[in-house]
Amino acid sequence: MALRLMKSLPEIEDQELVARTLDGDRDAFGVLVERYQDRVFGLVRHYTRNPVEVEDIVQDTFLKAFTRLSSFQRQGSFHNWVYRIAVNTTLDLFKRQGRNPVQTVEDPEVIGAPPTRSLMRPDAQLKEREIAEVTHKVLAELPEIFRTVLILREFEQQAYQDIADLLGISIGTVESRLFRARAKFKELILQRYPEYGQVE
Amino acid sequence: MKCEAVKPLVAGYLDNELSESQAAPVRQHLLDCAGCRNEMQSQTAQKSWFVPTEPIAVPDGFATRVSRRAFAGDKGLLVPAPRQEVQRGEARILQFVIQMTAVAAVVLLILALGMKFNAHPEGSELRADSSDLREALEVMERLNREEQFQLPQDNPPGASQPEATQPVGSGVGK
Repeated sequence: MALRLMKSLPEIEDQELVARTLDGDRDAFGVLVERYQDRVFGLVRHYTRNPVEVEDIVQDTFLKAFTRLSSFQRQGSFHNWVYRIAVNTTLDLFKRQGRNPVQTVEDPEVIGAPPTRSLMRPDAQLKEREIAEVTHKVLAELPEIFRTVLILREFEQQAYQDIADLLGISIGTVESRLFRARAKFKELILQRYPEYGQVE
Repeated sequence: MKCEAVKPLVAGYLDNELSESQAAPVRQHLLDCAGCRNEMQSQTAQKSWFVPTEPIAVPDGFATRVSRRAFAGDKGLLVPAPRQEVQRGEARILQFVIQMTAVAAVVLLILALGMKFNAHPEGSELRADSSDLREALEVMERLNREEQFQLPQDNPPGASQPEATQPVGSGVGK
């Protein structure tokens, strides 16, 4: 029955589904979950490659969203709101587990000297999966604040303003973090794979 | 536009974050300047490391399951109830350690004050007060002298030494 009802709801706006959920409509919340589950799974997967952990985090994300639904600002984007919860849930979990503790942008070891070589494109012989593996290994070594802006910008194609809203920071901070994150990403790739470097 | 003004805008240009009025002069400069074009190509090359990943397979019935759990009052595996329990337990242990540390500190303070007022040497000269010991040594020395003096009378040579079992001062009055 739930599935049948959910199929009649897909055209309804997010705000309406939120209102119905708050009125106790379980199917409405199911539609919201179904609408965004692919994207949230995709987002969380950039943080961890463990599929069980991904599922747990995504599930927690939606359960948290449900408990906080009354605080959702109806004029805002539900997608951005859920994304923010997903990022925070992931980072909270990592923090509790002592994985990749947050480092400040001002940490000189984090910023380091800008690489003097530029990064080449990945080898045409490499398959997309292999490139993604390399990229995610390097991303995993980045401080959380850098990893998150890179994931949101480069994988999720989020606009600077959306990233700023999502993380609760200014656009200027987004630009600054992206600049440093890209420099650090390049530095780490060149350390691991010096063959991809070329003199600028 | 000059290169110094263009280079910081290249990332925003590639990310489509510039307004048309900002992007147009950057575009023109990139056509004219090989150096800035290289910078753009370098940043484009870096972007090509972020390839789209294959969509992850969402488990069947995920949305229905999550919705049912949410309406059943489930707040999730990772937060917050078990965490609060752990935090409460940790808080109790921490509170106990702090209380014990405070008690130990007070005891140490009392001991230190007691030592300061009861066993502090008097006077400015730093030396052990050995007057009692000296008196005792003098008494013992005197007793030994008296005893040695009396030995030849009470114990002729070759006799056993029963006095060794007698108290030191037992022969003094004889």
